[in-house]
Amino acid sequence: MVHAMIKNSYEHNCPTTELLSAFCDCGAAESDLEMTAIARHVDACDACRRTVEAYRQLDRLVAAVCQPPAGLEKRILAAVKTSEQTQVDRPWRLRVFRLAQAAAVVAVLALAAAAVMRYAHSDRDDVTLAQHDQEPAVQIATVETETKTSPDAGAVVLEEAPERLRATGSVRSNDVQTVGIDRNGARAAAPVAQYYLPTTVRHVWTTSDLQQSRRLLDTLAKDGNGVITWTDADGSLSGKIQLEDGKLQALSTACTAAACSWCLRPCRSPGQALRSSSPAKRSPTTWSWCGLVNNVSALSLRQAAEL
Amino acid sequence: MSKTTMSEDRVLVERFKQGDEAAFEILVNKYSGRAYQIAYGVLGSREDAEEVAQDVFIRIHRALPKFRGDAEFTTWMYRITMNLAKNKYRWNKIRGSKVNISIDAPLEGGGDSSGEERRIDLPDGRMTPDAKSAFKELEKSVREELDNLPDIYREALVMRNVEEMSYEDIANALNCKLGTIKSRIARGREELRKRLGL
Repeated sequence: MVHAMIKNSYEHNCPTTELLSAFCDCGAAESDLEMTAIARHVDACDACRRTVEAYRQLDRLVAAVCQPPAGLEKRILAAVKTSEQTQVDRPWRLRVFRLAQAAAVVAVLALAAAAVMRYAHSDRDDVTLAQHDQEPAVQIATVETETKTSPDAGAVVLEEAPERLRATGSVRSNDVQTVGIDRNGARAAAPVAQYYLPTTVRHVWTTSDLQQSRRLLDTLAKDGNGVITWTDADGSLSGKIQLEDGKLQALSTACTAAACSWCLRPCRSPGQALRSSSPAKRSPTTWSWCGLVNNVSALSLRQAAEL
Repeated sequence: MSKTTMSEDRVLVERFKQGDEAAFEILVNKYSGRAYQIAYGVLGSREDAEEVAQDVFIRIHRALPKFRGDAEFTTWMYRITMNLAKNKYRWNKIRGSKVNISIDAPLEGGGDSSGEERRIDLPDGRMTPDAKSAFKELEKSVREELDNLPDIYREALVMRNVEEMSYEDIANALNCKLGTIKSRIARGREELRKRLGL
């Protein structure tokens, strides 16, 4: 019964593409009975016969196209031999390479650890001072170290009580840079440092050695009272920051120039202190700043004004 | 794959393990063509296929001493070939394939670097020169269209034409079901037939 069904199944219906393909491969067919039925159909059906012939021709063509190139075996054997020879020669090179690899890994890890520690340390510094004023720290772009005094720069004298810290420095363009700071007023071996205070303090002074400056100002703040004052070369600008118990107590600036191009707002009273305030008593938005250091601190002031 | 061939392979593998390099050479002579064809099916490039075939036997030579024989040698070889060919395929895709052509590559249209005629199985040895020329043209078209076929069809179709590779072997090598392989071969054939206008 089944035999008859298969036998007759392709009498009038063409087999599927898949069956014709399987028919081409013969041995891979579903069953002999089915293949016999397909063979009978293909004999009788021109379209299917042409398809089967085309498939067989394609097989021959594909086989021809995929023929391995002459001499493949020899080349493979030669490659194997070369590879084995390289393997034999390799151990000392491999050891050197692995040593170099290990050294590179150690170096990368050391650098990463140093970067992490530095980052953690800088965070701690920020937190220390931020905690003093309980306000978030502001980061100001690092300024390149330049100890020479430019024409528009002035001397900066950072001093407090004689027994405490004394710092000397210079103002260059838009920044205040220290060239050294120590307890005895002697020029410190290590140059410049940069320091950022929390937002309410804004910009106290900046130097290029962030870590050193942070430590120094931290010391200043922790030591108790500290006063930082500065003036420019012709004495037209001066400023004063007073720290007490690590907190900003007073900031005063004065502009003696007839026209101060750096003022955040026009100097209405040249020669007078623009502002002298205590953040403990006044809102940060009332703060003002004037002078060469303004280009950096102006940003902070604007931010403060928006607060 | 016949049982005789399988037992022959086992003997060759054992001989190689005992230190008989000649046994390995026999394996290379026997199977390098298949490795090449399988790689060609994946890559569609003769130069890349030869490179992969070389790598396959370099790997086999290194790993054969540890080959436990859980699978047939051919199954193992097909797997290695497929893995390396697919790695090469991915590499080509990232880097931009067919950019580099080996200086040893046979010239297009026949003849390898040594000037030797490329071996082609012609369908009929009694073909006239015109018929041979027409066949060469057709062969060139087949190569191009084969390269343009979807990868899954080309792989299956080329492997089907690898000597003695059964549907089961192809299914194992491609990690597919038997039905999937049959279907891919059929579709590949039909697609190629249409593209070539046969």
